[in-house]
Amino acid sequence: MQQNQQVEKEKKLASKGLTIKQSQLIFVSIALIVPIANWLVFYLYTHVSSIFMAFQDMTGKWSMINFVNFYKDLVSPKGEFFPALWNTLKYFIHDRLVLFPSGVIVCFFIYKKVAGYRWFRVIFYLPNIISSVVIIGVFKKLIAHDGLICALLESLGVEYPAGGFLGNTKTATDTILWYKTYVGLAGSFLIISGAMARIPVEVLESARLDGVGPGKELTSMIIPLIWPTLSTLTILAFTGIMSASGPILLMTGGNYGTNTVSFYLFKNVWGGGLGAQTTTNYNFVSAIGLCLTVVVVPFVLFVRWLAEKVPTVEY
Amino acid sequence: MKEFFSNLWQKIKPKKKVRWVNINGKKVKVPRDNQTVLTKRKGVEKVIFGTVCVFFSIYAIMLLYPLFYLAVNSLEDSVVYALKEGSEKFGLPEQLHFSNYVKVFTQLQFEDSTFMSMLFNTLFYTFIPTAYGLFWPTLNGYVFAKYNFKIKGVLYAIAITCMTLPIMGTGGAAFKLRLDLGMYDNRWAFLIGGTGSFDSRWLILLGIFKGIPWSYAEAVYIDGGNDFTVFFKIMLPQALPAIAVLYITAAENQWNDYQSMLLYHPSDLTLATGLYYIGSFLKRGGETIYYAGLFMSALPFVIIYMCCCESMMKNVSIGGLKG
Repeated sequence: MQQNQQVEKEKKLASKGLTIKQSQLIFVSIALIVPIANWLVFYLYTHVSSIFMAFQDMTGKWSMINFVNFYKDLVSPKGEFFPALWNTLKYFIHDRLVLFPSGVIVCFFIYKKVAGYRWFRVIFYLPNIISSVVIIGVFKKLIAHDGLICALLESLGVEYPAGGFLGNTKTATDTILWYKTYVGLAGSFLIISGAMARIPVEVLESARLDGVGPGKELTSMIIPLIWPTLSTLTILAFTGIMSASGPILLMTGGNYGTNTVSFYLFKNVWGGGLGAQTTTNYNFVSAIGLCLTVVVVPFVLFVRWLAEKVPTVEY
Repeated sequence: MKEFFSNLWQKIKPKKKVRWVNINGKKVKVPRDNQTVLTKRKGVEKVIFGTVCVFFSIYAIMLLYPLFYLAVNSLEDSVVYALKEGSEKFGLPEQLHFSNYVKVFTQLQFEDSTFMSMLFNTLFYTFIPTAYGLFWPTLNGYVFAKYNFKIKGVLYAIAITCMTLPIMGTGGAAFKLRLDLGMYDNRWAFLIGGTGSFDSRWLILLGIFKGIPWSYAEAVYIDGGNDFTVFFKIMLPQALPAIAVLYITAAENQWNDYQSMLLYHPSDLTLATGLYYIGSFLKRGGETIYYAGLFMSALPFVIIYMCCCESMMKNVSIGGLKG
C-alpha cells in the first residue's frame, strides 16, 4: 500500500519535472535559509565580533585597555562592578529560593482546585500581562511618603527612610526585591501549571485512595512527575544567572546602589536615552561579558549535568 | 460586542454548585457532583485549603489593586486630584470624569509623540514583526520534526548548545552591528532582526509538530499536493492553537517591552516607552490623564488573556533539554 502511494507521489512530481528528493530539498532549503542566515548574522557574527571587540579600544586598535579598566574597577573601593554583582546574586538567590518554590506551591493549590481557582489563575498571571511601567507607576505611589504602605508601616512603628524607600541606598534594592515578590509569587505560573495539567489523573487518584496526603502528593508525586519541566527552568535560570535583575531602570535608573550586572552592561550600551550625554563603551561591555562567560560556563555545565542525574519519569 | 462579553462571562464565571434537571416536565434542583477523589477534602486538609484560599484572595486583591487604583483615579478631576494630600489620593472620586479618557488622545504626549502615534507604533511593533518573527520558527520547527536531512543533527546540537550556554556582554556588539547595518532606529529593520532562528519557540513548535501524525500528509501527496501544500493546509492548521498561544505571548511581551525599544528604536515611542517618559517628567495636575493612559495601555492584553487563559495553559509546555 505504502509502495503504491510512493509510486503515485513520484508520478505526480515527475509530471512537474521533480523527484521527491528534489522537491523536499527545495522545501527544506527555503525553510532553513532565513533562520540560518539570521543565526549567522545576529548570533554567530555578534558573538565572534564581541570577542574581538573585547581586545580592541574604541578606535578599533588591538589593546588590553578594556580588561585593564575592568580590573581597575574591580580593585577600586568605588568600583561599580562588585556591588552590581552582589545585587545580581541577591536577585538570583531570591528568584531560586523564594519565587521558584512559591510558584510550584501556588500552581499545586490551583491544580488541586482550591476554592476560587478559576479566578486566581487569571489574576496571578496579571503581572506578566500588564506592563511594568503601569504596575511600577502605582507601586511607587503606594510606597511614597504619602502612600498607603508608608501609612501602614508608620502605624506599625516602622520609620520611613530618609529619601524614601527607593531613594535610600540601604533600602532601595530590598524594596525592589519586595516588589519582585509582590508580582512574582506565582513564579513561572503558566509553564508549571501546564506541566501539572498533563499529569495522568489516574496516578494521583490511586495514590489518594492509598491515603497519600497533599504534602506527600506534592513532594513525592507531582514534583518528580514534572521534573523535566522544573529542571529545564532551573537550567535556563542558571544559564541566565548574570541576567538576574529587577526593573532597575523604572525603579531607580541604577542609582542608590541598585545596579545589577545586566543593567550595568545595558547602561554602558544605552548611554541614557533621549538627549543624554552619558558615554557608551561597547568594547568595555564585551570585555566584561567575556570574563563573565569564562567564569559562568563551567558552572552552568555542572548544573546541567547535575540536573540530568535526577531520574525522570516517562508517562 | 454584547456577545463577546457574554462569552467572556461564561468562561470566567464561577460554576454553580447545583444544576437544574427536567424530570417529567418539572425542573428539579440536583447538587452538581463534580468532586473527584482528588478534590474531596476532610479535616486538616479542609483547613489547609481554606487558609490557602484566604491567603490567595488577599494576594489577588493586592494584584488587582494597581488596576483599581488607575481605574478610580483616571476618573477623578485633575485639579481635585492635584489638591488631594496623603491617603486622600487613595479614596474614591466624588464625580466621575470620563472626559479624561478623551483627553488621553488630545493632551497626553511626550515631545512630538501623541498617544495616538504611540498607539500606532505599539500596534505596528506588536503585531507585524511578531507574526513574521514567529513564521520562521514554525516552518523551521516543522522541517526539523518531519524531515531528515544531512545537517539536521549538527544544527540541532548547535541550537541547543547556544540556547544553554550563557554567553554574556554581546549587547555592545549587537548594537554596533545594527548601527553599521543601518538598522538602528529603523522600524522595518525590526522585521529582519526579529526573525527567530533557533530559540525556545522553535523548540516548542518542534515538539508540537512531532506529535502530529504524518498520515494526513501522505493523503495530500496522493492527491497531487507538494510539501508546501502539506505544511500550509494540513500541518499548520493542526498546530494553530499552540501557534496562537505563542503569538499572543510574544505579542504581549512586545506590547510591554520598554528596554529594547529604548535601546534600538528611541524615536518610535510606543505606549510602554512613551508612558515611561511621560511618567518620568509628570507635572502636578497631569496625573489623572496619565493614569487613564496607563489603564488603557494595560487593558487590551488583560481582556485577551481572560479569553484565552484556558487554551494558553493547555498549549504551553516545556519538556526536558537533552543535548
